[in-house]
Amino acid sequence: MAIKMVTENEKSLLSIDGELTIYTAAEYKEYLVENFSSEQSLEVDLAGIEEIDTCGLQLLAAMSKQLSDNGNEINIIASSDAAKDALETSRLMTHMTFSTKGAEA
Amino acid sequence: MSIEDTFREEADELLIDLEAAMLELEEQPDDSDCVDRAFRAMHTIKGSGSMFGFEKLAAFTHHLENAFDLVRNGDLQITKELISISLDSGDHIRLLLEEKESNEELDQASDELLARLSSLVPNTDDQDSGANTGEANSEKKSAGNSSSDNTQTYRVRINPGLDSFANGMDVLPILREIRSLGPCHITTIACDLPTLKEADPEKCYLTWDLILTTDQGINALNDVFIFVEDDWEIDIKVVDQSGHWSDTPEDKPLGEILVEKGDATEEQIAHAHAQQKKIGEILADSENIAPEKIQSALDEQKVLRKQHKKRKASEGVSNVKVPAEKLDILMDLVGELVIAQARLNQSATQLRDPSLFSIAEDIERLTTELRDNTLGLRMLSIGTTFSRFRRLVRDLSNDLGKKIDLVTEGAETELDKTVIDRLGDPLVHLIRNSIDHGIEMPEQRKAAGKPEKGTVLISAVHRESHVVITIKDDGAGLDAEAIRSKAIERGVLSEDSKPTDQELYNLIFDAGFSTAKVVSSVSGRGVGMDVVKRSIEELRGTVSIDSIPGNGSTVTIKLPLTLAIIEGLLVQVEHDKYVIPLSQVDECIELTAEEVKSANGNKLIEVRGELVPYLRLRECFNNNENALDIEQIVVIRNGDARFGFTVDQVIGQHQTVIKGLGKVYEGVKGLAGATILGDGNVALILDTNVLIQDASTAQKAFH
Repeated sequence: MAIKMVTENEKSLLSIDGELTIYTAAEYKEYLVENFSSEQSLEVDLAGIEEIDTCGLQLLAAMSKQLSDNGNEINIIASSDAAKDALETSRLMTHMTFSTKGAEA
Repeated sequence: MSIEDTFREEADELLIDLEAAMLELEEQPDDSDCVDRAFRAMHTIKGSGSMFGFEKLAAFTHHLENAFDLVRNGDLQITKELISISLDSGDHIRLLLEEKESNEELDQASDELLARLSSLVPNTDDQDSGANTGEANSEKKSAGNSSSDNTQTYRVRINPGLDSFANGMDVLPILREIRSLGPCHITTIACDLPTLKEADPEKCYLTWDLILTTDQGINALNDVFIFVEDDWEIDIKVVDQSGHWSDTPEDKPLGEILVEKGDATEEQIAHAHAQQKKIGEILADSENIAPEKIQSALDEQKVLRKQHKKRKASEGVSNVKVPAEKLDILMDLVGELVIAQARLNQSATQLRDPSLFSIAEDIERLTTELRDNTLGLRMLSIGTTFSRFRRLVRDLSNDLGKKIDLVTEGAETELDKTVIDRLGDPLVHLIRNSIDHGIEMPEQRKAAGKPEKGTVLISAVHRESHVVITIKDDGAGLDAEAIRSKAIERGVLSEDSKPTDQELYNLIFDAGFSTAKVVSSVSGRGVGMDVVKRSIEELRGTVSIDSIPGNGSTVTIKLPLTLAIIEGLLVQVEHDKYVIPLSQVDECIELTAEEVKSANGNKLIEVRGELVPYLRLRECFNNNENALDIEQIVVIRNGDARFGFTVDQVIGQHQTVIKGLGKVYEGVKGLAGATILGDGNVALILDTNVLIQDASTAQKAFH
């Protein structure tokens, strides 16, 4: 499974690789229900994303919404071209802080 | 006009456009409209330049154009330095326009500017084109087409429904396709999205709002949804359409109407506005409407506003360009017609022929309309002059290390072309003064508890038959004490006189008066304010200054709308006739020999409890001490004071075509010009300001 949540010092880093689509959504959701908490701000690394669809975006949106309801932030620290294009097109990133540094990584 | 001149003129307009775009970009670096405008201006200059043989100019502009092409593609960021280079380049192109032949100095300047430019422009090979490219391209594509008339703005709502993902549908490709049609604002609405725990990840809870401006037609948009339209809820609505927008007049905000009716002051409205929350905030706070939905509506509003602005701008295309010379000739002819019409009136009155009378009346009505329309043609909005100042303020504040905002109001106020042309220099001087002497350095301002950034406000407004221009700064204000000691030093003021602050301030309009302790490159050499005053008076206007120490100063300029034809009051002194501008006249009263006697030789008359000084035109022009038993006094308003002119008889209102007096009489004081009356006689137009000034200095010398 290409999803990993690391939490240390009140900060969480979520990295997702490969596919974030309807085919992985159910599986990742289960993982996130276990591991995700909206009590602290979240950094997301999407540098390894090869494919992403609206369903995948919706997962991100769900986390983003819960975080902002609790006054916390979601920060995309890195994204592949595929991920960047999807976020841009849907303008989902207006609800998230989107840092471009390391975008090429 | 030769073709080359036409090109120069056109290029000049484009350069003004370019400059305006640059200054706007300085405020909003990501305004793609401005980038497009700048690019188009450069492109046209380059293209027509090489067509008319301005090779150097074309080559130079080419580099600039390239740089902005990179900006359009998102490969180059707008920076202060780039704007600065572009502004300098604009100035340089102006020079190149003058000098078609090569010139070493100019060549060198070209090279220097290009060197500065090339240090900014990256080598495109090693630049990551970035994710913006897609958007920039689609916008570029539509920017090229947007001038065509069938551009429409659509509001598109997409609600794919809960099961769409399960049915193998994806929204992203659709969004991408719509974006390729034209500039598009997309908002993803996630308000129905449950928490992660409750959500079924394979169901679609999201909806989308799009604002799309495209010229591809509704079919192109419908085609996008061709495979999904049966399952998805799709709502497409035209929100802005060319040709339809002008049917709905823009209604005025309530506050504006209240101010117009005099029921509320602008301050009250501004105060009320300050308390008012934006409707979006209220809705989001109390009505529980999702912020994304409000954002989407705001986006729509923004797109529509832009669209309207564009349409209004492109409407100007139907204008006709006329050389100013032709307008002058037309104005002269109208002037002659007014005079001829006066003659016709006179003859009709003498002959008492009813049919001639009715023709004369018709002609009079038509002449008045023709006159007003011709004057209207010569009217230009003062905004063009204002935009010149934006550059001035920017350059000056950079030079002096001050932070200054220029705020303009009433740029649409119209004034006669001649007046506008001759107003530029005095205004530039006044703004320089405000920036150099008025606004303090940022540290000083901070210490005085003011915001670091100073503000210079220029506003223009119509008031009665005048235009009032004010230049206001929030700087240190004038130093009344310094002016006072300087005035005493120069012998303008006696030690023991006690002028009001207001009177002191206005002394700075006297020749050679400068209280600046430091002479800077910008101003402070003691020439200036007197020149300003003279130029304004040449335009038959008045200028005054007021100041609040520590809070800045305000210069107020009052100008007549036109210099060509005015409404005048025709009066008679012995056998001669004179015209007093009607806009200055307050009232006419009788002066009896009795009253003259009772005033003990003082030329004062009591008008409803107020003493008004007066001047006898008989003495002034005819050296005739004899007085009639009953004379008339025309009381005019001069600033806050009133002043009377004694005449034999008041004849009445007269449309006055102002004619110059010619070289021989140039030096004659107290006359502003002459006009030809219906009977062919000449009447002189009085320059009341000068007459009053002379009278009061004579009075002072006498005492």
